[in-house]
Amino acid sequence: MLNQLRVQISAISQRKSYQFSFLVVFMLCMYNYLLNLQQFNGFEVTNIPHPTALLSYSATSHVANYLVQLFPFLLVIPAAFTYMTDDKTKSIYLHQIRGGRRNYYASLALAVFIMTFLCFFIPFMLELLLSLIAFPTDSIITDAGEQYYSQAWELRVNNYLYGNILGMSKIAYAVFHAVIYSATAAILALLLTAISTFRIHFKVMLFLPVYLLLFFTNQAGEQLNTPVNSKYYNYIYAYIPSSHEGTRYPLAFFIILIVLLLISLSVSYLRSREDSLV
Amino acid sequence: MRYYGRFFVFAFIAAYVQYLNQIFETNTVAVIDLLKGLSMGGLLFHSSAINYVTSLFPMIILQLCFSTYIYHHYSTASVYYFSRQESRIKWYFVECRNLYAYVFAYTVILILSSFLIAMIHGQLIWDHAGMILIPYFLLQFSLWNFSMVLLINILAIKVSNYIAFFIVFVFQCIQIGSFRYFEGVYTTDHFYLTEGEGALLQFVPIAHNILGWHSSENPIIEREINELSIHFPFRNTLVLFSLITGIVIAAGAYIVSKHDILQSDKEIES
Repeated sequence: MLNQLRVQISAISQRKSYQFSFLVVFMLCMYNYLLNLQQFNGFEVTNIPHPTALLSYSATSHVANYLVQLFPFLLVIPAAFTYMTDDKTKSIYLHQIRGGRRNYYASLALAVFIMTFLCFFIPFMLELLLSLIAFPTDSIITDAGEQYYSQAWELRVNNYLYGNILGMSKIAYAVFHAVIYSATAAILALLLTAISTFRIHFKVMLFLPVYLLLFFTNQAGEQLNTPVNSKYYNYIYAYIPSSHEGTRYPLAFFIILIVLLLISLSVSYLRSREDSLV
Repeated sequence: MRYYGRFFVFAFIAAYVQYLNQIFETNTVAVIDLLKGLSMGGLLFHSSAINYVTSLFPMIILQLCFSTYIYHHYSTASVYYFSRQESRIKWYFVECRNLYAYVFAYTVILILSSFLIAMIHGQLIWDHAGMILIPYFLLQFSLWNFSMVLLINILAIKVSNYIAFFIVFVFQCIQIGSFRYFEGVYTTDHFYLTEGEGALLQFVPIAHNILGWHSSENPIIEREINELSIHFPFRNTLVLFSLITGIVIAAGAYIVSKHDILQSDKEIES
């Protein structure tokens, strides 16, 4: 199993699609970092916000809008096509003969999860590291321009999701959001991998399920007139205060992710039990 | 062909989504309002890019579903398939014609569904401006989306299909992102662009998809549109979109004639 996983991870990392998507996320992060450097060039240190408020996955970043729009497509490219590629190149039989059918599906699911996660997490962490070096970590200015621990800040921090983590450590808060962001992408990629085990003619059609899922969940809150905030980006982006778009329920968000994860694993498990000769 | 016919159901869904996204004060809706809604309308100029992309839904679905129409001949048994074609260029033009027919049919279904949904929800007013703009909307929407779908198909021959779609999607997103560089002028009850900005906006091709930003010499139509108070005639849009379509068709013809079909299947690669 571990050997299979190592082979799968190695194969995914060498694919052009993985390198392409990694490059896209990395370039977006670096673009945001360079724009931040340009924006705060010549500023008094006391007027520069904390580096964690400037990250690309923060609500006020220069690339936040682009990341939101590309997210449903970008999460598919790194690893979700792995099964389709293995199937078309017939290497699926080599994997299954070497390690067994169940091991193949288990290692495939794990490899897709890990590689998609890292495709987002590594560029985010690199950007965080560079920002911590370039910007003052003892900044007392928040993303909204007010002073930390002022009355206004105390009011705002309670409006952020996971505000208690932010209250303890801003860096921990940034890392935590990077983990949530990357894990959401990884779980959705896993779901697509499970879908791809059914007959799909073209890889591009694999964009459709997650795009529709995210689009319609975004629409649902507004159209059904519910007080629930159903927009996924309000749960995964850092420094998003509560808004008129409805109340956020992070627990419900995590439960939905876990349900999607279980569905994906169940499909993979059932497929692994099928007889490939029938 | 039945494979692509099933995607017309998305035209109905897209029309419904766009109808729900519009905030109509009463159940009485005019044709012009529906058309503006279908063409990325109902948004403030400096609206969030997320809102713009949400309003791109009918276009994205169309571009995604038909992104394999020409390309699929290159992915499986292409050597066998093309050995039976006398002229690849002739074949390509026939495929382009058929693809345009599909895109046009999608546009017609999108409009008809929109009318039907409006009639079910309330009353549809067949206003003069809306009636005049129906043929224009048909041309504008179908030409832009045809050129984008064709671009995806011909790029897919050279790079992977999904990379081709992603590139074209990013190309459209960047154009939308450029709207924020137009500052405009805000007054107490109106927002408008300066003359220079209005001229510059016409160099952003995707801006031509937004019906509400155009101007018209017909006062009845002018009253309903021209939200930015600029000179933005419909003929500029039709000329630009015809030009883009022509360039994409020509580039596709060149790629199709030069592409070596013995090259490996891009669906298998990477």
